[in-house]
Amino acid sequence: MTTKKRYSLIATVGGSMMIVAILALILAGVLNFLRFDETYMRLVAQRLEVTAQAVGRAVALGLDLGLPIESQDNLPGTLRQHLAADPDLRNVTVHGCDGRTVIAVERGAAAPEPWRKHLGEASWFAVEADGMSVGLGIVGPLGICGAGVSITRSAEAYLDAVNAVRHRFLWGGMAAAGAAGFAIAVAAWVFGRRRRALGAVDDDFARLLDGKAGELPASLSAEDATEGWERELVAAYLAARPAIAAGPREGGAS
Amino acid sequence: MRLRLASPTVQGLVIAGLSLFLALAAVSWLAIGSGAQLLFPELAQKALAEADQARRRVDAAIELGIPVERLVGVDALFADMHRNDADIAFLALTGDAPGDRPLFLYGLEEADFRRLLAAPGQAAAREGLAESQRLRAGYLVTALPLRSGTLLLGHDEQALVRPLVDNLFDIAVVVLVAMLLAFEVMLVVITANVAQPARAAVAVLKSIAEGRPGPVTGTAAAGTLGSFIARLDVFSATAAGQPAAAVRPGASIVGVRLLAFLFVFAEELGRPFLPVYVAEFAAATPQLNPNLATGLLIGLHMSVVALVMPFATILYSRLGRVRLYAAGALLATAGLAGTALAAGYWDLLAWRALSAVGYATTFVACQGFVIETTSRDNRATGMAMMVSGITLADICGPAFGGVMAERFGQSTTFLIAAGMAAAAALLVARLMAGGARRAETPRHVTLRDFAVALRNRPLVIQVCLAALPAKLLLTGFLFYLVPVVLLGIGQQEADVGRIVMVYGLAMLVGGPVFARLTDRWQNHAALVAAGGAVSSVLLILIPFVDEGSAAMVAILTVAALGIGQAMSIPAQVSMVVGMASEREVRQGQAPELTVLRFIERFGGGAGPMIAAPLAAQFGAAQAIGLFGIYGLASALLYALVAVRPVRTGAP
Amino acid sequence: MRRRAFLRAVGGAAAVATLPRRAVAEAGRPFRILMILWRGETGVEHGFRRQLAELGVAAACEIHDLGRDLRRLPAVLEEVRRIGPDLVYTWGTGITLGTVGRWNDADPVRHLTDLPVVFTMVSAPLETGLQPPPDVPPRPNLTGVSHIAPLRAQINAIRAYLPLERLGIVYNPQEENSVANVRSLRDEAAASGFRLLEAGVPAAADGLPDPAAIPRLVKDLAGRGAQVLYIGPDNFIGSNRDLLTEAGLGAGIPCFTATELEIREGEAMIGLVSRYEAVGRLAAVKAKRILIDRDPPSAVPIETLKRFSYIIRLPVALRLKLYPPLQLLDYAEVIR
Repeated sequence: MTTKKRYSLIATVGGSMMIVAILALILAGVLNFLRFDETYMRLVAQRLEVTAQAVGRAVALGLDLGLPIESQDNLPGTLRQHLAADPDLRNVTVHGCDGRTVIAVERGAAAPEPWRKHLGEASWFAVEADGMSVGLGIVGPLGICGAGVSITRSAEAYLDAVNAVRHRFLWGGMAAAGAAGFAIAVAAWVFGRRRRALGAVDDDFARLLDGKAGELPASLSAEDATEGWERELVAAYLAARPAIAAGPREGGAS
Repeated sequence: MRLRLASPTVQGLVIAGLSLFLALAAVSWLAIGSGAQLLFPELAQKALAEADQARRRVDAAIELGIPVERLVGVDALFADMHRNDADIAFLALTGDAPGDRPLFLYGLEEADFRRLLAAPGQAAAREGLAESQRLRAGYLVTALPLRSGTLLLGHDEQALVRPLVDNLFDIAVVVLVAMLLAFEVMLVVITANVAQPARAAVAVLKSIAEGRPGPVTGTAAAGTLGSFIARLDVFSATAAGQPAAAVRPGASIVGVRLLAFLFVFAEELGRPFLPVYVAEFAAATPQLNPNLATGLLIGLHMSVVALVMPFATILYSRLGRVRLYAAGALLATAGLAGTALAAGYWDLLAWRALSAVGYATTFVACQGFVIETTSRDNRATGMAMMVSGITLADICGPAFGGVMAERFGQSTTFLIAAGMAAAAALLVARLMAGGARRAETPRHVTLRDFAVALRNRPLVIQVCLAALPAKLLLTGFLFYLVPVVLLGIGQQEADVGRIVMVYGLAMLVGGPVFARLTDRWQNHAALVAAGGAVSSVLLILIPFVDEGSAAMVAILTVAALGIGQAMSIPAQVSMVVGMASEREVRQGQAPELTVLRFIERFGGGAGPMIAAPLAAQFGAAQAIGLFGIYGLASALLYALVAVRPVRTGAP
Repeated sequence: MRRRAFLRAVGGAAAVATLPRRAVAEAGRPFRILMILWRGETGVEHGFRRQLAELGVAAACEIHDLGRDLRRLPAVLEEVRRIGPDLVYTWGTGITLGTVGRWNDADPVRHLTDLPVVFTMVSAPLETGLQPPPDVPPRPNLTGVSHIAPLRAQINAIRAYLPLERLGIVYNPQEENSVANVRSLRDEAAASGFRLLEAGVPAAADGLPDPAAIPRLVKDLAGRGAQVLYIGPDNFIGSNRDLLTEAGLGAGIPCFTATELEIREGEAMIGLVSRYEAVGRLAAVKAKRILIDRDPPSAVPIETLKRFSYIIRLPVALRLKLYPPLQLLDYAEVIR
C-alpha cells in the first residue's frame, strides 16, 4: 500500500508537470511554425510584388496615354517576358476593374481568378490551395480604377517546405518531449524519494508499536530533515515518543 | 513553507524546470536551423527578382543615352527597394574596370564593400543559389551585368533568421508561464499531499505528548509520510478507545493561489490590446466618439468590479464560496467569450460588464475563502497567498496574451481567456474543498464607513493625494495609454504584453524589498511621496520621445511605475492601518481600509475614462505627459501636506 | 466595335426628331448630346465617346463645328435651343464662355442657363469666371474638365526632376491671363519655397511686345541663377516659343511647360500635360453622372485629371546634361 501511495504521488506530480511540458512544447512548436510560415509568405509576397509592380508601371504608363488596357499592344509581350523570367510563376494577368480577364499569359492550365475577391483593393496577397497570388489595383488618370494586375505562382515549393518543416517539428518535438518526460520522471522520483529522517521516524514508530524498541536510535534526529514540515514532524515525534512508548499499554489497560 | 536547496521538492522543481527549458530551447533551435535552411532558396530567388528589376530600370536609363556614372536617383532607387524589402542591405553600381571605386554605393561603407568583394564567395555552400549569386561575408550578393558596368544587390543573410530569433522572446514568455504554472501545480500537490497531512500529524503528536491522545489526523498522505500517518491514526484511535474526531478538516488555503491566478490571468490576457480592440468597435459605431467610447468601456470594467463587490459579499453567505466562485467564473467565461464574438460596441459593452461581474464575484469568493479558512494569526499569510497568485497572473497574463494575440488574433485570445475562466470553474470544487470553520464572511462597505473615513482628514489626504493618483496612473497610463501609443506606432501585441509585464515584475521584485524598508524606516509618508514621484516623473518625458526609442523608454517608464508603486503601496497601507483602531484591523473590519480599497477601485475605473478624452484632445503621448504632471504634482503636494505631521506622529 | 460604328452613324445624322428629354431616357433611346467644337473632332471627343460606351451610356452625339470662328456660335446656340438635347458639350474657353457666360454675368437670352453643359479643355475655369469662387454656390447647369495641372502639381513635377530654388519666367505683361498666371506663381513660390524670377517682355516702338528682347531676357534670368524657365499660358510666348527655348538651351536652362504643344513641337525639356483622350474620358464620367445618375450639374465637381502625363524631351536633356532620375523614367513618356 505504501509503495502504491508513493508512486501515485510521483505520478500526480510527474503527470501534471508532463501535461504542462507538453502543452508548452506544442505552443512553442506552433509559434515557431507560424513564424516560419509568416517569413516564407513574406518572402514570396515580396518577390511577386516586384514583378507585379513592374507590370503595374507598364499598365499605368499606357493608361496615362489614354490607352485602355485592351489597346496596349506592348503588354502581352511584357507579360510573357516576366513569366519567362521566373520559372515558378504560373500566370500573369491584367484584368479590368470589373474582374474580366483582359490579357493573360499562362504556364500550364488556366488558373482560377483570385483577383475577383479583391477588386478595388490597392494591393493584396492571397494563398489558395494550389497557388499564391499577389495583385495590384492600378488607378488611372481619372482617379478611378484603371486596371488590375494579378500574378500567381505555384504553391508546390511552399507546400514542400511546410511539409519538411512540419516533419522536423513533429520528430524534434517528440524527441524533446521524450527527453523532457524522462527528466520530469527523474524529477518526480527525486521529489517522491524516501526521506531519511522521516523514514527513520516511521521505522522507529513501527518498532515502538510492536513493542520491540526501547532505545531511541542514534540516527533519529531533526537535523537530518530536509524541509520544514519534516523537521517539525520529527521534533513533534521525538517529543511525543515517551508518551507513545507508554501509550498502547495504557489503551490496552482500559 | 520554507524551501531549501537540499529539499527534494526544490530539486525536483529545478530538474523539471531545467528540462522544460532545455526542451523548449531545443525546439526553438530546431526551428531556427530548419527555417534558415528551408527559407534560403526563397530568399535567393527573391533577391534575384529584385536585382533583375533594378537592372531593368538602370538599363532603361543607360539605353536612353545616360552615362552610367551620371545616373540620377540611384539613391532613391535604393531607398525605394529598401522600403519594400527591409532585408536589402546594400546596392552598388560598379564600372566595367575591376578594382575601380564603385560608381554608386548605398547601405554600406566603401571599405566594407571592398572587403566584401575580396572575401571568397561560397557558391556551393547552399542550395538554391543562381549563377549570379554568392554568399560573401554574411551577405547574399546578387551581381548582374548592366549594359555598362555591374549592379550588385546585397541581402542580409541573417534577415531570414531574425523573425525566428525574435520568436525566442515569445518562447521565453511560454517558458516563464509554463514554469510558473508547473510551480503552482507542484505547490498544490505538495500542500495537499505532504504539508497539510504533516501539520495534522504534528498536531496529533502534540496532543499525545501532552498526554491526551485521541484525535486522529483524518487525512491520507503519500509515501513514508502516509505510512507514518496511518500508524499514528491507528495508535491514536486505539489509545482513545473509540472512533475519534479528526483533528481538522483539510481545507487547503494554497488552492486559493491557483484560483486567484486563473481568474486574474484570464482577465489579463486581453490587457495589451484591449484598448485597440475596443476602439475598432467604437469606430464602427456611428454617433460615437471612438476615444471616449473606448475609455468608457475600459473604465466601466473596473467600475463594475467596484460596484459589484459589495453585492457579491452579500451573496457569499447565501451561496457559499464554491458556488459563488463557480458562478463568477462562469459569468467571466460568458463575458470573455462574448467579448471575443461581440458584433458591435453596445453588446461588447454588455459583455465586458458581465465579465467584470464575474471578476468581482470570483475575487470576493477567493477573499472569503481565505477569511473562512484562516485564523487571525495566519490570515496575513493567506491573503499573501492570494495576492501572490494575482501578482503572478499580472505578470504572465499580459505577456502571454500578447503572444497569443499576435499569433492567433485578438478574438481568439479572448476565447482562450474564456477557456481559462471555464477551467477555473471546473477546478474550484476540488481546490476550495473542505468545510467552513468560521461563520466569518467578508465585510462589505457601508455608508457608515464613509462617514467615519471622511471625518478623518489624514485619510482624506492619503486617499486623494496618494492612493487615487496611484490607481489613475496604473489604469489610465499602463492599461489604456501604453497599449494605445505602442500599438499606434506599430509595435506588436506581444511586445506590448512584455512591456506591461514589466510592471508586474517590478512590483514582484520591488515589493519585498520596499516592504522590508517600510518596516525598518518609520517615515512612511516620505516613502509614499517618493514612490509617487518615482512612478510619475518619467511619464512627463514621454511627449518628447521619438518613435525609435519609444519601446525602450516605455520599458523604463513602466518599470519606474512599478518600482514607485512598490515603494508607496505598502507604506500607504501601513499608514492607513495606523489610522484605524487596532482591534478593527485585526478583525479585518477597519472602515478606513475598506473605504481606501473602495475608492482605489473607483479610481481604477476612472483612469481610462480620463485618459481617453485627454488622448483624443492632445494626442496619446501628450496625455501620458499630463498624467505624469498630475502624478508628480500630487506627490509634491502630498509631501508638503503629509510628510511632516506623520513624522511628529500625528493621528 | 459594332456599337461604336452605330454611334458614329447616329452622331452623323443631325436631324433627329425632337423629344422631351425624359421621354428619351425612358424610352431606352440613346441620349442626345450636342457637341460644340472649335476645330473639328480631336482626341478629346474620341476619349469621351469611348468612355461613354465603356460606362454603358447609349448616346447619340451631334457635332457642331465652329471651324475656329466664334462668330458662328450664336447660330449654333439657336439650334441648340430648338433641339433641346439632353446635354451640351463645349470645347475650350472661348466656346464655353460664349455658351454659358461668366458666373455673375449669365444672360438667359444669349447664354444657356438651363440645359446641362459639360465643358472640356478650359485651362482656368475659375480665373476666366466660368466657375464661381469657392464661397459662392456652384452654377446650376455647368460642370466640366480642365486640362491644366494645378500649379502645385507642376512645381512638384519640376522638383521630381531637379532641385528648384529659382524659377524664371518670361511673360507678356500686356496679356491679362499671363499676368494672372504670374500672380498665381508668386503665391505658389511663397508657399512652396522657391524664388520666382520675372522678366516682362518690353514693348517695341509699335507698342507691342518685342520678340527680339527674349534672348536678352533669358540671358539675364540665367545671370540671376534661374534653374528652369516656366512657359505659361501666354499667347505671345507661345508664338515665340522657339526663341525662348533656344535661348534657354544656349544658357543651359531647361524649359518646363504645362501644355502639350510646347513639348511635342517645341524644345521644352519637361512637360506635365493632360492627354486629350484622358480629358475626354473624365468629361464622359461627368456626363454619365448627369444623364444616368441624374445628379444636377451643380453637384458634379469641376475637376482636372488626377494624374497627368509626364513628358521628357530626351535630346534636350542629353544636350543640357540634365539626366532624368530613374524614378521618372518609370512613368514618364520619353520623346527621343
